[in-house]
Amino acid sequence: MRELFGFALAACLGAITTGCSADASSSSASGAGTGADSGVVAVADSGAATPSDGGGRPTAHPTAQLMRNGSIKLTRSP
Amino acid sequence: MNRFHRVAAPAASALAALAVLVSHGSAAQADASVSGLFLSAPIVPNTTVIYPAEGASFPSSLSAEAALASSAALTYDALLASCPTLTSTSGAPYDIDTVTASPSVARLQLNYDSIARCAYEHYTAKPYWIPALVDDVDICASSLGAAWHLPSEAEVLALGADDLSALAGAYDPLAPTFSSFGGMYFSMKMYVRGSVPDGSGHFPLKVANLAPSAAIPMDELRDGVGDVMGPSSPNYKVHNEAAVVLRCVTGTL
Repeated sequence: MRELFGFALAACLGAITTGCSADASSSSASGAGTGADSGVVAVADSGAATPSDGGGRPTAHPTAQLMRNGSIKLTRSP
Repeated sequence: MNRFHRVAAPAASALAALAVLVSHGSAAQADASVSGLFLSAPIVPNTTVIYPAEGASFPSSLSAEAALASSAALTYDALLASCPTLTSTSGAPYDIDTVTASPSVARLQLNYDSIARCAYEHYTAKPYWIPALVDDVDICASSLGAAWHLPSEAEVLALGADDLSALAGAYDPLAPTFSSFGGMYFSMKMYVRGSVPDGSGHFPLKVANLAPSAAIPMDELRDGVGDVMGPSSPNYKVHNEAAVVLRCVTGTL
Protein backbone atom coordinates (compact mmCIF):
# COMPACT_ATOMS: atom_id res chain seq x y z
CA MET A 1 0.00 0.00 0.00
CA ARG A 2 2.75 2.41 0.96
CA GLU A 3 4.70 1.56 -2.12
CA LEU A 4 1.69 2.10 -4.29
CA PHE A 5 1.03 5.45 -2.72
CA GLY A 6 4.64 6.41 -3.10
CA PHE A 7 4.37 5.59 -6.75
CA ALA A 8 1.37 7.85 -7.03
CA LEU A 9 3.27 10.65 -5.39
CA ALA A 10 6.23 10.15 -7.67
CA ALA A 11 3.97 10.26 -10.67
CA CYS A 12 2.88 13.76 -9.74
CA LEU A 13 6.08 14.96 -8.14
CA GLY A 14 6.86 17.43 -10.84
CA ALA A 15 3.50 19.10 -10.54
CA ILE A 16 3.00 19.14 -6.78
CA THR A 17 3.28 22.86 -6.32
CA THR A 18 0.97 23.67 -9.14
CA GLY A 19 -1.37 20.72 -8.76
CA CYS A 20 -1.46 17.86 -11.20
CA SER A 21 -5.17 17.50 -11.57
CA ALA A 22 -6.64 18.03 -14.98
CA ASP A 23 -9.61 19.71 -13.41
CA ALA A 24 -8.89 22.26 -10.74
CA SER A 25 -12.50 22.94 -9.88
CA SER A 26 -12.75 24.77 -6.60
CA SER A 27 -16.25 23.68 -5.75
CA SER A 28 -16.60 21.81 -2.49
CA ALA A 29 -18.53 18.68 -1.77
CA SER A 30 -18.25 19.06 1.96
CA GLY A 31 -21.12 17.77 3.96
CA ALA A 32 -22.22 15.81 6.95
CA GLY A 33 -21.54 12.13 7.02
CA THR A 34 -24.08 9.44 7.62
CA GLY A 35 -24.11 6.74 10.20
CA ALA A 36 -21.20 4.38 10.42
CA ASP A 37 -23.00 1.12 9.77
CA SER A 38 -24.45 1.56 6.31
CA GLY A 39 -23.65 -1.61 4.47
CA VAL A 40 -20.86 -4.09 4.07
CA VAL A 41 -18.47 -3.85 1.15
CA ALA A 42 -15.96 -6.55 1.85
CA VAL A 43 -14.89 -8.70 4.73
CA ALA A 44 -11.27 -9.28 5.61
CA ASP A 45 -10.15 -11.92 8.02
CA SER A 46 -6.78 -11.65 9.67
CA GLY A 47 -6.25 -15.34 9.20
CA ALA A 48 -4.96 -15.64 12.73
CA ALA A 49 -5.18 -19.22 13.85
CA THR A 50 -3.40 -19.13 17.17
CA PRO A 51 -5.68 -20.73 19.75
CA SER A 52 -4.49 -18.63 22.65
CA ASP A 53 -2.47 -15.61 23.60
CA GLY A 54 -0.13 -17.64 25.75
CA GLY A 55 -2.16 -17.09 28.87
CA GLY A 56 -4.64 -19.83 28.23
CA ARG A 57 -7.31 -17.41 27.07
CA PRO A 58 -8.67 -17.79 23.52
CA THR A 59 -7.24 -15.13 21.20
CA ALA A 60 -9.72 -12.62 19.84
CA HIS A 61 -10.25 -13.07 16.12
CA PRO A 62 -10.52 -9.72 14.34
CA THR A 63 -12.60 -9.17 11.25
CA ALA A 64 -12.70 -6.02 9.13
CA GLN A 65 -15.61 -5.06 6.92
CA LEU A 66 -15.46 -2.26 4.42
CA MET A 67 -18.74 -0.39 4.60
CA ARG A 68 -20.85 1.42 2.06
CA ASN A 69 -19.74 4.79 3.41
CA GLY A 70 -16.08 3.93 2.93
CA SER A 71 -15.38 3.22 6.58
CA ILE A 72 -13.92 -0.03 7.88
CA LYS A 73 -15.65 -1.80 10.73
CA LEU A 74 -13.29 -3.78 12.94
CA THR A 75 -14.72 -6.36 15.29
CA ARG A 76 -13.24 -9.12 17.39
CA SER A 77 -14.78 -12.46 18.11
CA PRO A 78 -13.37 -15.08 20.43
CA MET B 1 1.48 -9.42 20.43
CA ASN B 2 1.34 -5.72 19.80
CA ARG B 3 3.99 -4.24 17.59
CA PHE B 4 3.26 -0.77 18.91
CA HIS B 5 4.21 -1.61 22.47
CA ARG B 6 7.75 -0.40 22.05
CA VAL B 7 6.47 3.16 21.89
CA ALA B 8 3.35 2.75 23.98
CA ALA B 9 2.60 5.17 26.76
CA PRO B 10 1.38 3.75 30.08
CA ALA B 11 -2.16 4.84 29.27
CA ALA B 12 -1.96 2.91 26.04
CA SER B 13 -1.04 -0.28 27.84
CA ALA B 14 -4.04 0.12 30.07
CA LEU B 15 -6.27 0.69 27.08
CA ALA B 16 -4.83 -2.34 25.33
CA ALA B 17 -5.69 -4.44 28.35
CA LEU B 18 -9.20 -3.02 28.30
CA ALA B 19 -9.52 -3.81 24.62
CA VAL B 20 -8.62 -7.42 25.26
CA LEU B 21 -11.08 -7.51 28.13
CA VAL B 22 -13.83 -6.14 25.92
CA SER B 23 -13.01 -8.57 23.15
CA HIS B 24 -13.64 -11.45 25.51
CA GLY B 25 -17.02 -10.17 26.48
CA SER B 26 -16.53 -9.03 30.05
CA ALA B 27 -17.16 -5.42 29.21
CA ALA B 28 -18.90 -5.79 25.90
CA GLN B 29 -22.00 -4.19 27.31
CA ALA B 30 -20.15 -0.98 28.05
CA ASP B 31 -21.29 0.52 24.75
CA ALA B 32 -24.23 -1.37 23.39
CA SER B 33 -25.09 1.36 20.89
CA VAL B 34 -22.11 0.70 18.63
CA SER B 35 -20.64 -2.70 17.94
CA GLY B 36 -17.11 -2.57 16.63
CA LEU B 37 -14.56 0.11 15.92
CA PHE B 38 -15.15 2.11 12.76
CA LEU B 39 -12.30 3.77 10.87
CA SER B 40 -13.63 6.29 8.38
CA ALA B 41 -12.57 6.80 4.82
CA PRO B 42 -10.14 9.71 4.55
CA ILE B 43 -11.59 13.19 4.82
CA VAL B 44 -9.57 14.89 2.14
CA PRO B 45 -8.98 18.61 1.69
CA ASN B 46 -9.84 20.47 -1.44
CA THR B 47 -6.41 21.99 -1.98
CA THR B 48 -7.77 24.86 -4.05
CA VAL B 49 -9.53 25.97 -0.84
CA ILE B 50 -6.70 25.55 1.67
CA TYR B 51 -3.74 26.70 -0.42
CA PRO B 52 -4.88 30.34 -0.57
CA ALA B 53 -5.47 30.30 3.20
CA GLU B 54 -2.08 29.07 4.37
CA GLY B 55 0.97 30.78 5.81
CA ALA B 56 0.46 34.50 6.27
CA SER B 57 -3.13 34.09 5.10
CA PHE B 58 -3.97 31.46 7.71
CA PRO B 59 -7.09 32.39 9.73
CA SER B 60 -6.47 34.39 12.89
CA SER B 61 -9.44 33.05 14.84
CA LEU B 62 -10.70 29.59 15.69
CA SER B 63 -14.07 30.32 14.14
CA ALA B 64 -12.37 31.28 10.88
CA GLU B 65 -10.29 28.13 11.03
CA ALA B 66 -13.45 26.07 11.51
CA ALA B 67 -15.05 27.76 8.54
CA LEU B 68 -11.99 27.06 6.40
CA ALA B 69 -11.93 23.41 7.44
CA SER B 70 -15.63 23.05 6.72
CA SER B 71 -15.31 24.52 3.25
CA ALA B 72 -12.29 22.37 2.41
CA ALA B 73 -13.30 19.01 3.90
CA LEU B 74 -14.48 16.42 1.39
CA THR B 75 -16.24 13.49 3.01
CA TYR B 76 -16.84 10.16 1.35
CA ASP B 77 -20.60 10.55 1.64
CA ALA B 78 -20.52 13.98 0.04
CA LEU B 79 -18.39 12.66 -2.81
CA LEU B 80 -20.74 9.72 -3.16
CA ALA B 81 -23.50 12.24 -3.75
CA SER B 82 -21.67 14.53 -6.17
CA CYS B 83 -19.37 12.29 -8.19
CA PRO B 84 -22.05 10.27 -10.04
CA THR B 85 -23.00 13.46 -11.88
CA LEU B 86 -19.43 14.18 -12.97
CA THR B 87 -17.26 12.88 -15.78
CA SER B 88 -13.79 11.52 -15.29
CA THR B 89 -10.78 12.86 -17.15
CA SER B 90 -10.98 9.80 -19.37
CA GLY B 91 -14.28 11.14 -20.65
CA ALA B 92 -16.47 8.47 -19.12
CA PRO B 93 -18.82 8.97 -16.18
CA TYR B 94 -17.58 7.72 -12.84
CA ASP B 95 -18.71 4.15 -12.25
CA ILE B 96 -20.75 4.77 -9.12
CA ASP B 97 -24.09 3.25 -8.16
CA THR B 98 -25.85 4.60 -5.10
CA VAL B 99 -29.32 3.46 -6.15
CA THR B 100 -29.20 -0.31 -5.80
CA ALA B 101 -30.67 -1.28 -2.44
CA SER B 102 -28.40 -4.25 -1.87
CA PRO B 103 -25.30 -3.65 -3.94
CA SER B 104 -22.86 -6.47 -4.46
CA VAL B 105 -19.38 -6.44 -3.01
CA ALA B 106 -17.91 -5.86 -6.46
CA ARG B 107 -20.31 -2.96 -7.03
CA LEU B 108 -19.30 -1.21 -3.83
CA GLN B 109 -15.63 -1.80 -4.54
CA LEU B 110 -16.07 0.01 -7.83
CA ASN B 111 -17.75 2.84 -5.97
CA TYR B 112 -14.79 3.20 -3.64
CA ASP B 113 -12.26 3.19 -6.45
CA SER B 114 -14.29 5.74 -8.39
CA ILE B 115 -14.68 8.03 -5.39
CA ALA B 116 -10.92 7.99 -4.89
CA ARG B 117 -10.40 9.01 -8.50
CA CYS B 118 -13.15 11.63 -8.48
CA ALA B 119 -11.86 13.27 -5.29
CA TYR B 120 -8.57 13.97 -6.95
CA GLU B 121 -9.71 14.75 -10.47
CA HIS B 122 -12.59 17.05 -9.63
CA TYR B 123 -11.74 18.50 -6.23
CA THR B 124 -7.93 18.52 -6.36
CA ALA B 125 -8.01 16.54 -3.14
CA LYS B 126 -4.58 15.57 -1.84
CA PRO B 127 -3.33 14.33 1.54
CA TYR B 128 -2.06 17.81 2.28
CA TRP B 129 -4.05 19.15 5.23
CA ILE B 130 -2.58 22.16 7.03
CA PRO B 131 -1.41 20.71 10.38
CA ALA B 132 -2.60 23.70 12.41
CA LEU B 133 -6.09 23.20 11.01
CA VAL B 134 -6.14 19.52 11.99
CA ASP B 135 -4.77 20.45 15.39
CA ASP B 136 -7.16 23.30 16.16
CA VAL B 137 -10.43 22.14 14.57
CA ASP B 138 -12.34 18.97 15.36
CA ILE B 139 -12.78 18.14 11.70
CA CYS B 140 -14.02 14.62 12.44
CA ALA B 141 -16.96 15.78 14.53
CA SER B 142 -17.82 18.71 12.30
CA SER B 143 -17.70 16.63 9.13
CA LEU B 144 -19.04 13.23 10.22
CA GLY B 145 -20.97 13.93 13.41
CA ALA B 146 -20.31 14.20 17.10
CA ALA B 147 -19.69 10.48 17.51
CA TRP B 148 -16.52 10.66 15.42
CA HIS B 149 -13.13 11.85 16.59
CA LEU B 150 -9.50 11.95 15.55
CA PRO B 151 -7.89 8.66 16.60
CA SER B 152 -5.82 8.94 19.73
CA GLU B 153 -2.35 7.49 20.00
CA ALA B 154 -3.68 5.22 22.73
CA GLU B 155 -6.47 3.88 20.53
CA VAL B 156 -4.00 3.00 17.82
CA LEU B 157 -1.57 1.46 20.26
CA ALA B 158 -4.37 -0.78 21.51
CA LEU B 159 -4.58 -2.47 18.13
CA GLY B 160 -2.73 -5.74 17.83
CA ALA B 161 -0.98 -7.17 14.82
CA ASP B 162 -4.02 -9.26 13.93
CA ASP B 163 -6.22 -6.17 14.00
CA LEU B 164 -3.88 -4.37 11.61
CA SER B 165 -3.80 -7.36 9.28
CA ALA B 166 -7.56 -7.42 9.23
CA LEU B 167 -7.78 -3.68 8.53
CA ALA B 168 -5.30 -3.92 5.68
CA GLY B 169 -7.14 -6.94 4.32
CA ALA B 170 -10.31 -4.93 3.95
CA TYR B 171 -8.58 -2.97 1.21
CA ASP B 172 -6.85 -5.88 -0.50
CA PRO B 173 -9.42 -6.21 -3.27
CA LEU B 174 -9.51 -2.44 -3.69
CA ALA B 175 -6.04 -1.62 -4.96
CA PRO B 176 -6.42 1.53 -7.02
CA THR B 177 -6.51 0.92 -10.72
CA PHE B 178 -4.94 4.25 -11.51
CA SER B 179 -1.86 6.28 -10.62
CA SER B 180 -2.71 9.59 -9.08
CA PHE B 181 -3.20 11.24 -5.74
CA GLY B 182 -6.44 9.28 -5.51
CA GLY B 183 -4.25 6.54 -4.10
CA MET B 184 -4.40 8.38 -0.79
CA TYR B 185 -7.78 6.77 -0.27
CA PHE B 186 -5.94 3.53 0.39
CA SER B 187 -3.33 4.99 2.71
CA MET B 188 -3.20 4.01 6.40
CA LYS B 189 -0.68 6.71 7.29
CA MET B 190 -2.85 9.01 9.36
CA TYR B 191 -3.02 11.78 11.92
CA VAL B 192 -3.52 10.79 15.55
CA ARG B 193 -3.70 12.81 18.75
CA GLY B 194 -0.68 12.11 20.92
CA SER B 195 -1.34 10.74 24.38
CA VAL B 196 1.48 12.55 26.14
CA PRO B 197 1.31 16.34 26.54
CA ASP B 198 4.20 18.55 25.60
CA GLY B 199 5.71 21.13 27.93
CA SER B 200 2.79 23.49 27.45
CA GLY B 201 0.15 20.86 28.22
CA HIS B 202 -0.76 20.48 24.56
CA PHE B 203 -1.40 16.98 23.23
CA PRO B 204 0.50 17.11 19.93
CA LEU B 205 -0.45 15.60 16.63
CA LYS B 206 1.44 12.46 15.74
CA VAL B 207 1.39 10.13 12.75
CA ALA B 208 0.41 6.47 12.86
CA ASN B 209 0.86 4.05 10.00
CA LEU B 210 -1.52 1.13 10.36
CA ALA B 211 -0.13 -0.75 7.38
CA PRO B 212 1.18 -4.05 8.79
CA SER B 213 4.42 -3.59 6.85
CA ALA B 214 5.04 -0.04 8.09
CA ALA B 215 8.65 0.48 9.14
CA ILE B 216 7.66 3.29 11.53
CA PRO B 217 4.19 2.53 12.96
CA MET B 218 4.09 5.61 15.20
CA ASP B 219 6.05 8.77 14.59
CA GLU B 220 6.24 12.44 15.36
CA LEU B 221 4.56 14.77 12.91
CA ARG B 222 7.03 15.64 10.18
CA ASP B 223 7.02 17.99 7.24
CA GLY B 224 7.59 17.05 3.63
CA VAL B 225 11.37 16.86 4.05
CA GLY B 226 11.22 14.77 7.21
CA ASP B 227 11.80 17.40 9.88
CA VAL B 228 9.74 17.11 13.07
CA MET B 229 7.24 19.90 13.34
CA GLY B 230 4.92 21.32 15.99
CA PRO B 231 2.73 24.35 16.67
CA SER B 232 5.74 26.65 16.90
CA SER B 233 7.20 25.51 13.58
CA PRO B 234 7.03 28.14 10.86
CA ASN B 235 5.47 25.69 8.41
CA TYR B 236 2.79 24.47 10.81
CA LYS B 237 0.26 26.70 9.06
CA VAL B 238 1.27 25.57 5.58
CA HIS B 239 -0.08 22.48 3.82
CA ASN B 240 2.00 19.45 4.68
CA GLU B 241 3.33 17.40 1.78
CA ALA B 242 4.34 14.52 4.05
CA ALA B 243 1.17 12.85 2.77
CA VAL B 244 -0.72 12.15 5.97
CA VAL B 245 -4.42 11.37 5.62
CA LEU B 246 -7.16 12.37 8.02
CA ARG B 247 -9.27 9.44 9.15
CA CYS B 248 -11.69 9.37 12.05
CA VAL B 249 -12.91 6.71 14.44
CA THR B 250 -16.04 5.87 16.37
CA GLY B 251 -17.22 2.91 18.39
CA THR B 252 -15.22 0.49 20.47
CA LEU B 253 -13.74 -2.95 20.14
